[in-house]
Amino acid sequence: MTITNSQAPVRRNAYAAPFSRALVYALLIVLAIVALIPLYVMIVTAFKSMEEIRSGTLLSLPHAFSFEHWWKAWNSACTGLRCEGLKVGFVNSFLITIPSVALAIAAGAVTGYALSFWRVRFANVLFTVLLIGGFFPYQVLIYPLVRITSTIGLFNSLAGVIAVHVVFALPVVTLLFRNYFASIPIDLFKAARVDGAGYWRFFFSILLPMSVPMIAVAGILQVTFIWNDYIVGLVFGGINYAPMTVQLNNIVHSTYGEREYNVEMAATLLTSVIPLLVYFTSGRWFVRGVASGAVKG
Amino acid sequence: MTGVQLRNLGIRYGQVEVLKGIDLDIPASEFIVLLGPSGCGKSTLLNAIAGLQDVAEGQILIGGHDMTNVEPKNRGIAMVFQSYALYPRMSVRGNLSFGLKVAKVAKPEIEKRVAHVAKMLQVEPLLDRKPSQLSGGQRQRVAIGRAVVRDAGVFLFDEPLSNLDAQLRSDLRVEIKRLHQRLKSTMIYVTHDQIEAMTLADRIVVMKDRIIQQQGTPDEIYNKPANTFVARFVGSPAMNFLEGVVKGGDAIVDGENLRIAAALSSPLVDGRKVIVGIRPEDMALQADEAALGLAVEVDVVEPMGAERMVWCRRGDIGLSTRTPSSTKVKSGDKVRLDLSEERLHIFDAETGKRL
Ligand SMILES: Nc1ncnc2c1ncn2[C@@H]1O[C@H](COP(=O)(O)OP(=O)(O)OP(=O)(O)O)[C@@H](O)[C@H]1O
Ligand SMILES: [Mg+2]
Repeated sequence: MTITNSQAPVRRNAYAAPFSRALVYALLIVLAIVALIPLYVMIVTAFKSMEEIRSGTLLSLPHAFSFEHWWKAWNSACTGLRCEGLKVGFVNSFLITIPSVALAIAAGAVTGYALSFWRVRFANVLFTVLLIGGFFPYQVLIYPLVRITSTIGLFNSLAGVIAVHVVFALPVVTLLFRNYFASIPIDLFKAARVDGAGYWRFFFSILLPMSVPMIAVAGILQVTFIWNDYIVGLVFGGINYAPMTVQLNNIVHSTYGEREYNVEMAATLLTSVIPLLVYFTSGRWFVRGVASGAVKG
Repeated sequence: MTGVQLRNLGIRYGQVEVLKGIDLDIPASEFIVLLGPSGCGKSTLLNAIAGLQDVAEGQILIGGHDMTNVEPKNRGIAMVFQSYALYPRMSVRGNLSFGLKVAKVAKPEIEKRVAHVAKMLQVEPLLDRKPSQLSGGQRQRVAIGRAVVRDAGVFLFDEPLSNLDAQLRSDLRVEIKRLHQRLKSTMIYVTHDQIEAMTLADRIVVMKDRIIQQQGTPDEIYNKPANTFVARFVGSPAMNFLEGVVKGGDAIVDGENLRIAAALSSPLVDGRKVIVGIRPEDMALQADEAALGLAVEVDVVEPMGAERMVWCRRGDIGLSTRTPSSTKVKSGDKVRLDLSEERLHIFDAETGKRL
């Protein structure tokens, strides 16, 4: 007993030493500043007038806070031919992200369930394929997918973008769920079968309620990934369903005449609001999901 | 009431044969214990009876009907697991009623049965808790309740008590026995704990190496073990074994003559190699070095309250015996062990079978 505990006091002493503790904090503070400076610059620039941007230093606070550029970025900045701001892309991003994430999670959970609890034929082959799929650089698949979607008439449509997102998300989401389900004791499954629960009953009544942290993890990962996606939206969405990221790029790269840095900064910040919100509000779930073994293995 | 018959049952995991030629006839209302070392296939057999394990060959009959290929829920069985296997997101009430809900039993009937079982197993105050808010003993009570509520003819227990501490284990053991007396269902109980087996069973089935080694009442298993494996596995401390050769009706063990005729049904020919088994309580320790019996040296003495375990040596052979605490012996003493002749067990040295 005394032997196994010998680690604890040593560690406490190490942290108790004031010098090394100060060092740790100093390092953390410096890293935090380095990471936050660009964000700070973006925020203050978005509130400055162009005059001030041209004359002032990068780091100074704006003389007068102005929401004008935010409004412009949202409502009237030119994203290519149209000048309706980012709001169109915002709606598009929602239309793309929500169904994609929901479908990817639903399909991934069911596939992971089949792979871990039911002796599907060729389960191991399937698993290996998924594993490879999960690490495959997806740019390679863009062209084949363009051909496939245009053959079946989904190219340049909302359904097309969603379908491609689901295809790309499926390996990772399935693996997450499969690994999580593999950590659930098989006795639970047996007990439910004795109780008469079939394939779907067990899935919906017992497995899904247990998987809330896992669904949260998959949801957070996929919402941020799909929201931040650029290339799939650009290639498959066409003009009508360009997501926010594509429109942001258009604002930043296609302005004629003087570049409106303040509008660009505001647009960038607006585009990243959703992923940031997701992180801030669901961090607790994410940690819980990771801690419950969701991501291990 | 429902009996269970197994006919020439064989089970494989891929190419590996885990059980073969299992024949077992369990009358209705019997409490039968499957006993055997870890990995001998007890859980596999129980899962097969439950319908959770595919059967390679043979038949399973429950209540006289062939159930070999019937879904678990339709077999009229209920099962209790070592890991409790309670549904973690459901309350105790939810756990108890889940099977009935799936079976589409009417709501008032579900409530009635859950209330009845909760009372029987004293989990009424816990009905609205989640499994994570229960102690191990409470969890297993709920798991047993979940089995009872199904109103099944056959109960299957897979080492239900082995995750519990000693005190709880003996409490719940009594509870399970009481449950059996009350419900009069057929119970098939898997354990590797021989105390559980001896105390609970109407009949014990000892398994090892893919087959049934012996089946019989606890008394038969203990007093007439069919082979050296059963003899060694049942009883604590284990039976002592001495190797010997038959000569003139006696067994010659390490130069000493042991009278074994009383333990044999028919005499053995001279020269036959045998193993003589004797349980610790069937030897009397004689502190007097000149007394009759096997001369041994005391190795270790373990006081156990009313009696002592005395571990002796005779050359390479270790022998254990019990003595009353009044017998004063200590390590290094030269003593004699008086073996009671009619309590000897004689086994064939080659096959290990009882003679
Ligand atoms: N899924 C499986 N695949 C292959 N072999 C298995 C599988 N499950 C069990 N076995 C093997 O089958 C044998 C019997 O296993 P089983 O679980 O029935 O043993 P047991 O008697 O219940 O043991 P314990 O007392 O440890 O629970 C073991 O040798 C085990 O290694
Ligand atoms: Mg087992």
